[in-house]
Amino acid sequence: MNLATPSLSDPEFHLFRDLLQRQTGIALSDSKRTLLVSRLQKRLRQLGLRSFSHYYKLVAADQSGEELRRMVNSLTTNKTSFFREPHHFEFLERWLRGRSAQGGRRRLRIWSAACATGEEAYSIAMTVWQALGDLSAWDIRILATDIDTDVIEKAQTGRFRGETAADISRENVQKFFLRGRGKWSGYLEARPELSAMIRFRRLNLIDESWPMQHPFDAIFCRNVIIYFEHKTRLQVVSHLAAHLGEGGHLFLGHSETTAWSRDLLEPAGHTIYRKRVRQ
Amino acid sequence: MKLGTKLTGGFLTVALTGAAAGYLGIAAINAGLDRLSALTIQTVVPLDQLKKIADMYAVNIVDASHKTRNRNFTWEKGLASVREAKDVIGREYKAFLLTKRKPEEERLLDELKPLLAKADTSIEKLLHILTQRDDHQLTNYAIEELYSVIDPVSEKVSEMISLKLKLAREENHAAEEASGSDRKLLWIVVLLSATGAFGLGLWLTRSITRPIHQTMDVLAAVAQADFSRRIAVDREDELGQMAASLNQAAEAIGRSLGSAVVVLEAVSAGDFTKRLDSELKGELARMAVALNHAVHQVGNALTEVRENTEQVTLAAQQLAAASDDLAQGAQEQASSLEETSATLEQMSSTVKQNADNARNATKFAEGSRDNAERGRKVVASAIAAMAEINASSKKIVEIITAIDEIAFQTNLLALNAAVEAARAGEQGRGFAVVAAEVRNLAQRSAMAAKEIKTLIQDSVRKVENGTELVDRSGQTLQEIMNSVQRVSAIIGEIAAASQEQATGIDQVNKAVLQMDHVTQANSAQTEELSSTAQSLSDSAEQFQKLVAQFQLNEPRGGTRTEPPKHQPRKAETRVKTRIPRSESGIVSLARRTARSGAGSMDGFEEF
Repeated sequence: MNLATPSLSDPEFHLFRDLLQRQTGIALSDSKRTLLVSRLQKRLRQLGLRSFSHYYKLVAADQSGEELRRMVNSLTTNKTSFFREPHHFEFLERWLRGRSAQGGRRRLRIWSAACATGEEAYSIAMTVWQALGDLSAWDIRILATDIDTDVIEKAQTGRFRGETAADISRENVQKFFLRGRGKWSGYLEARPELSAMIRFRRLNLIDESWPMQHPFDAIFCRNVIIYFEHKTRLQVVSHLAAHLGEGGHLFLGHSETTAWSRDLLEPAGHTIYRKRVRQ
Repeated sequence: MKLGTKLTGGFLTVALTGAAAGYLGIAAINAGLDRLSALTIQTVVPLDQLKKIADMYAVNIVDASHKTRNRNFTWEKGLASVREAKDVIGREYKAFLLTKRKPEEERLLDELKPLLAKADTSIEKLLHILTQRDDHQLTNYAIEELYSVIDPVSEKVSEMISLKLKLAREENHAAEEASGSDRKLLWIVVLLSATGAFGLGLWLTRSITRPIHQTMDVLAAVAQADFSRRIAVDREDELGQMAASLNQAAEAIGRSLGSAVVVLEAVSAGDFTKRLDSELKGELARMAVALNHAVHQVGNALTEVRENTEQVTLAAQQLAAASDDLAQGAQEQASSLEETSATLEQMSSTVKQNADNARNATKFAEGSRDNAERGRKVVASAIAAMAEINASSKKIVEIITAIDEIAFQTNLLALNAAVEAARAGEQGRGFAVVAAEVRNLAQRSAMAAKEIKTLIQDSVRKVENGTELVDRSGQTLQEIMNSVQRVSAIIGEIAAASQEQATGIDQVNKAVLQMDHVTQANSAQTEELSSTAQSLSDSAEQFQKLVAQFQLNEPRGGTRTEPPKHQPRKAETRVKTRIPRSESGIVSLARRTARSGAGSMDGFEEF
């Protein structure tokens, strides 16, 4: 069995790079060649292909789009964890408590864009439960989307390996999760109250229009646009801002700035942005 | 005509007329004085003399006489008084004689003389009386003689006085008339000269004050900083020159101030390129130099500021570009960190798999070794069995050979028998059949023996092969065992390496986590840096706008450098080695050993 990695030529790299850019907006720089090779070579091995050109042809020829979906799934990075960048959730909790104290409409719409395996969506759900207490008095929906269908499937199960909850306090783990037994020992399952709030869907952020019709109170889109090039970033952030209600908040990843969208969004905290109220 | 001349002339004229008037006046006064002195000398003095004389007689002497008589005077005093009076009379009379007299006065004098003589004689008598201190005589004298002597004198003197007065009055009159005409003349002259002087004065004054007023107007305008007025110069004297000079001065100052104003207005409009011409003199030249210098200095300073501002703007742009690059880099770093993290997670599970696989492999290796060992034993017994087979085969071959020979012999015998049978004829038919059967049997035996032999040979060959194979298997098994041992050793190393790998991955994980923190911190700082760069850029832009309002001379020397365009950040080629990321969900992870298993359900429950 020949275990040597097939080599990736420049034209081949450009083909995949352009395809990925077109389909997902993800921009691969030259330094990401090795990444491409390592992510795709397993599939090549599975399919018994010896060249990346063959694989590309296969992807292009697949009418069902299944192979393309697989390719996209394997090229996307899904790094996520519970309460990643905790200051966002602290902010959210404060804001929700304030909203609850104010009275007014008890309707909440939050969107976790690029949710990967769902930790972010469940962290949001936990924060909401923590802040509002009695969930029955509220109309809450949390939308969680990602371009990678594999991770959406996993996220939908609501099951997580015990280690992933290492950062959650023991009492919160007991409050929010059920513990697995038998073949699921070592796993945690989110409580139905949390799962009930969340809907998982596939969505591509660079689609020109998104199917959601109502504005959101908060959108989490963290550490996604770092994979896009500048133009795409602008486009996606504007699009996200368009789906925020007035005074709604946009949560971005720690290195992401919106210096160029100051007319739409005003800073409300560290990588937290509020949609400007129209004058 | 020069003003001095005019003034001098004018004053001279006035002086002359004044002098003339004065001279006339003095002459008149002199005449008057003459007359007055004449009057005094001729009238007043003599009158005084006469009065004194009269008084001496009428008062002093009489008085002395009476007082002596009444003892108000002592005899001595009376005597002295009369003597004194006498002296005075004498003195005065002498003096009077020296005075000028008119003829009428002469006549009276002539009449007086005897009376005086008489009086003098009487006074001598009185003196004598007084010397004698004779009261009685005195009283007699006083009553009978005194007045009779003195009164005529008094009367005569009075007459003379009156005459004098009359004459004086006439004289006075004449004098008055004389003076009157003098005065008239003088008045005329004075009036004339006054008018003349006045007129001259007016004329002079006007000719001076007019230009002076003009000058004052112009100077007043100058005092109000209006340098546009000029004096009409229509004369060549000092005033005309002064006017001309004033005009020039106003012109010069006006022009230079005008230029200065132009320069300063230009400066206030931001234009520092204008200068004052320095063909001025004195303070204006100093002002021009100072103003030029000041404008030059400020212009230079602004030029420097402009250059510095351009540099600052460039620097701000570079800073903004750098912070953009940093932000971009931070985002790329974040993406790389995420990918690294994801890869590390995969690596972690791969390493775990490796460790598990290594364990399993070890088990299998051990199993294999046991099997190999067993195999070897089997092989040994196989070899032994095969040797026995061989031995048996050999024996069988021997037996078969014997059988074959027997068959052969039997065949021969059968042949013979057949021949004999044939010879025997009828009786031998049965025997021939039997012999034929025997031959058949013998042939069949021989064939069977041959087959068996072939088989046996075949078998022997097979056994030989088999032995070879078994030998080889034995060797192979030995090799397998050796390999298994080596594999076990290697697996052991792999397990150890996996352990190190796990430790390494842990360290890398920690490092990545730290890098994540650092990246976060850097992003925050980059955001601040970006906004600082932005505000610096804004300030520099404002500053530039401010400075751009000014027109300045181009800097001396050195070409101005164009600000470099912002280069888009070139992606660096970074070579990273990546370990294949196993697809999620497909590789089954080693489960931990199940908890106490009997009857446990697979599901989720409360804590």
